[in-house]
This record gives sequence, C-alpha cells and structure tokens, in this order.
Amino acid sequence: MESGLQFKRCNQAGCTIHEDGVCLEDFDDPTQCPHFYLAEDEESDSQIDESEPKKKDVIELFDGEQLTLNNVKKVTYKYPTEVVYLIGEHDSGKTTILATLFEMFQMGPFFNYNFAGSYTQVGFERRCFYSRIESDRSVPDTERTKLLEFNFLHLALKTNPAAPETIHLLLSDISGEKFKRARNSSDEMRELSLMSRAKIVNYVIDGEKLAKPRLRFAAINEAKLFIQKALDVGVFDKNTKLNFIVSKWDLLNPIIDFNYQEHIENAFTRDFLQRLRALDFHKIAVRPFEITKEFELGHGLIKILNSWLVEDSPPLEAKEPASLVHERMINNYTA
Amino acid sequence: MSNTAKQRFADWYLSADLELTEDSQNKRIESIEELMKINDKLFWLDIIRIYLGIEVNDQENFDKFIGEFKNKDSIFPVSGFNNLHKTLAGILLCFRLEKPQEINKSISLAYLNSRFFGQFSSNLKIPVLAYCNASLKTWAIKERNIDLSERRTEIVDFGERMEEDTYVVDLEDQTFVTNAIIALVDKNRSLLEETNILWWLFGETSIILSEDFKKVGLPKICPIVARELFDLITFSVHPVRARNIVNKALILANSGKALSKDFTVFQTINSLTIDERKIVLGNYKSDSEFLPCLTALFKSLTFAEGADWTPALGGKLTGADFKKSMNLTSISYQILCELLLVKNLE
Repeated sequence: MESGLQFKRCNQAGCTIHEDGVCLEDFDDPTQCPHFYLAEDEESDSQIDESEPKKKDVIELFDGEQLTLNNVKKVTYKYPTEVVYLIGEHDSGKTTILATLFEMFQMGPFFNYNFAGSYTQVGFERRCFYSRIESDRSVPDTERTKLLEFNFLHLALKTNPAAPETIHLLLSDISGEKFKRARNSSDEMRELSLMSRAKIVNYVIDGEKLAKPRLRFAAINEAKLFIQKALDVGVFDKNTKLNFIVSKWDLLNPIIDFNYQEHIENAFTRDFLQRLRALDFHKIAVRPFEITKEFELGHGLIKILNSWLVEDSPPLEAKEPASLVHERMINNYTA
Repeated sequence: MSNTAKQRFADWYLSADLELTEDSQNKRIESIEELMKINDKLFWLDIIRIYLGIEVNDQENFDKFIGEFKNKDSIFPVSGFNNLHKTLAGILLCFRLEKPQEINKSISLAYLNSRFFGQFSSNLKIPVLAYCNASLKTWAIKERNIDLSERRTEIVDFGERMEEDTYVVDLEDQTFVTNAIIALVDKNRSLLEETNILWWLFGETSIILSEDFKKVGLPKICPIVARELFDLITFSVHPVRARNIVNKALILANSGKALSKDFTVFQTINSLTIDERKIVLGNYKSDSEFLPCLTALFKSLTFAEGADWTPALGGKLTGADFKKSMNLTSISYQILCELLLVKNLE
C-alpha cells in the first residue's frame, strides 16, 4: 500500500462510503457529513458497528427512486446500459413520454419487448402520479421535473421472457429550467456535456405551441438556438444521434396553416444534419387530449422506443489508404 | 485508430461509469500501466475471459487485476460489478495491444478465436476486435518484411573496413555481422514460405493425404488445408492474406468453382478418419474456449467415427453450436488460427 493513503469511513451504521463512496446522508461532498472521517489504516474498521451484518450477508435493495449521477453507477457498474436523454422546454412532454412508456409496460409486452425490471419504479410512478389520480383537472398532467441536476430512470427490457440478454436503458429527462439556462449560456451548456456520450438525444418540441401562430416560431427558434449552441460548445457533434420529436401531435395535426414538412423537417435537416451523425423526426401524442382511433394512448411511442433500442453500428473509422506494403506478390494475393 | 488508447479512455470507460473525474481517470490509467508490465500469457488469457464475462481459469489472475485497481483507488468495487470489470478488462486489452510486444500475438489470436461461434458477448464500444486485427497484421508484416537493402550498404562498408591493415574485429562489428546473418536467414525463411505455399497451391495436392485436392473433396479438405498451410508457415503468425490462400485451396478442391454450399464444423470433423483427425490436431490435448475447433477434434477422438461427439462439449464451450452451417473458408481459417495460437502459447 502507498504511504499517506487515507480511507473513507463513517460512524453511521449502514453507510457504505467505505465500499462505494456514497454517503448515507446524501452529501455530495462527504467531508460535510458530521459522521464522516478518514482512516489511515484500511484495517481500522473499529468504528464500524460489528453488530451490523457483514456486507456479504446483506442484499441491497434499491429504494426505487430516480437515480442521480452519484448513484447511477450502481446500475452501470453491473450492467451494460444505454443512456437516452430527453431535452426540451418545460411542459413540452418529456416526462409524459417516460410516464406513458412505463404505463404501457404495466399493461403487458409493448412493441415486442417485455418489461424485465426497473430499479426506479418509484421514480416512474411519481411521474405517472398526476395522470392517474382522479382530480379536478380536465387535462392529464405530469408533475414537472423539479431537479436541476441529472437524474435517471432505469428500464430493463427483454425481447422475450426467456431471452438471455437484457437491455438496460437509463432515461434522463432534463428539466426545462436547466434546458433554458443551457440555451442561453455556453457555460451552462457545457454542464450538459454528458449528453455527448448518449446513445441518442431526444429533443422534444411542444406541438401545442406549434399549433398557435403567436407561439410557434418562438418555439422553433428556441429549438434551433439550443441545437446550435450544443453544436458550437461540442455537446453535440458528428457522433450525436438526435431524435426531433413533436409532442401533442393530436393538437397540431388538425392545424392547416402550419407547414410541418417545411418548417420542421426541411429546416432542421438543412441546418443541422451535416453536423450530426443522424437526425430523425417523430410525431407523437403519447397522452392524447381525446383518445380516438387515430390517436390512442402512446401514439408514436413505438417508433421512438425502437430508435432507442436499435443496435448501434460502430462509428466509421477513417480508412487507411491502400498502399503496397509488401515487395512480394504473394502478400498482396487476393482470391 | 488515429487517437491513442489513453486519449480514448474516457469514451470507453463512460459505458460503465457516467461520472468520470480526472482523478479517477488518472488512477485507472496508472493501474492499467502497472498491469501492462505483466508478461504472463495465462494472465492475459484470463483478462480476455473477464472481458467476455466468463469464469477465469486462475482466480489469482482475477485478484491481481482487481487488486491493482484497488491499490490506486481504495473504494474501487471488487465483486458483483461485472460491467465495470468487463469494461476495464477491454480497455486494458486495447492499451496492451497498442504497444507492440510478442505477447500480443497470443492475445490477438485468443480473442479472435473466441469469437468464432459468437456465444460470448462483449462490449462493442471498446474496439478490442479492431486492435487485435491491427496487431496481427502488424506482426505478419514485421516478421516477413526484412529490408536487406540497408544491410547491403553496411556489409559493403564493413568489407572495406576489413581490407584495411589496421582493422581489428570489435564487439560492434561482431554484433553487426550476427544481425546481418539473422536478417539473411529470416529473409530466406520468408522466401521459402512464399515459394512453398505457391507450389502447394500450384500442385493442388494434399501433402497429408497424398491426393489431389479435387479427389479429397469438400468438406474433408477444409481441416486438411488448415493443417497443411500451418505446416508451411515458417513464422508465428499467418501471412496477411492467409484467408485468401485458404479460400483458393478450397476452390481448387471444388474443381475451380466458388464455394456455394455451407457445412457445419460437426460435418467437417466427421468427414475425417480418427487418424486424420490426429494429424490435424498435432500435439494439442486439452479444451479451451479459445480453441473450440481443436477442442472438438480432441474430444471426438474418444468416439467412434461417425458418432455424435457434440454432447461431450459442455463446460467451456457451452453455447457454441457445432451444427450451425458456416462458410468452409471460415472454418478452415479458424482451425489455422487455433493451430497458430497453440504454437504461440508453447
């Protein structure tokens, strides 16, 4: 062992900071915790309560709440995971997408996938809560994402219950406030740099705003500004796959004075496709204002889920230029 | 691969840990650099096993691997965190393969061989496969491309020095002469290998069976071609175009027609007599997930000809489907690579 090495310890029973660095009191900086101390000797566990069951006898149960950046490693350390981010203005429908997705799996297999567990079921339930209780509200709603930090919901899926492989998704809906600050500031945008390593980023634009002439171009400009800034700062780059999702399509679809093809697909493709790895467009109405044959619960969700689950082909590596590396013909032999 | 493994570390590691700080990155890389000093082939085979998510042969190797990370980071999680360990094992392999060393031949061959039946999953975000292919190609060229033109100039200079009356042989000149002779020998080996392979193809005759390739036929010629090409190779890795050479030999056995029919490894092995299987196998007598076809050949020896030996292949080869139809060139090339791995591990 190196001399001078110190080990994290805590007086509180049940705190696992000596194992995984996570403080039981949820302090990001453990030195702020009154129970925390540093030990010189790895063996000096005398402060740890000996009456506590040994770690190997304990099965750790997740509390089911959403995961933070600090404790999401409890999942990523165990399973290969794909991270999917949802960004957009507040009330654009990001959280509703997640809540509805969870609800669809509660009803059974969804789009050839079976629910295979989640470490954050409570987190999902909180997002569904307002949509389930009987209330005076005439329209469905979902509690606004409060936290400004990254948070993650975990979803494990299988193609069939007997499949050996499980797909683990980490879904992060970034708060509208965080999104707004990032759009206006390069420093704030850099704080979203985690998105640069996502499997896919989903920009959600509020279809209800696009339906209203006074609000639509502001919404479109805000989207362009955000994507532009993300590209300029390097949060988005040639490795980024971006889904551009128009939510509440049931409200926008009947509006005849809005040219979706020109103002959304053509415009955004023209401005951004060259600088991204992929740019796909989706129209969804996951929780329609009125359930009809055309707009059922979860409308458009299948296509989005499929885009999250499709296997990534590896990014194209630069091809080495062909060169005659051998002086003997046999080494250049081809059938 | 334009960026170094060190530069790409964060991208690879983030598949296991979204929150990578500069401090933890430095600690991980320090541990990796320490582990790279280990020159034990069996250790590296176990690293491949960790990367593939299968049980290691020697628990001490696993403890050494984890222990080095824990040395630098006291809160490094030790057990039950498969994805983290797999990710670090993959990154370690990339670091190892980036720096040319003899041991890389065994590592590359072992990993590539383990992928044949596709029963193991690995993190594709970490380009171990690309590094293995690049490493093998580098060694194939390095072993065979001996440039004698510079040596010629040195030999001419040496000859002129020797003609001087005051010339005295010194250690530097002795070393130079020795190295020059070695280079000549290696060049001769390279030429011998090429000529032999060319004559072997030109003659269209199996050395082992003393029969025309066409008469041997498919699929029997498949493992025979692998063994014969292995015997003709004078270095420790195959020539860059070995797969094409194998394909050519198989086409010749098919009367010059392209190979349109697929066979299984089971059919291929069962087309040989017991004695023929022993010739292909050589001295190999074991079972390993890095040598699936040779293991199958070995296990089949205890069964009667024509019998179904696949039930004997559990354990390390669980999940490998020996009755899956495959391209004959792939099977033959796989057997060749497995024979080369045995040679490199000796």
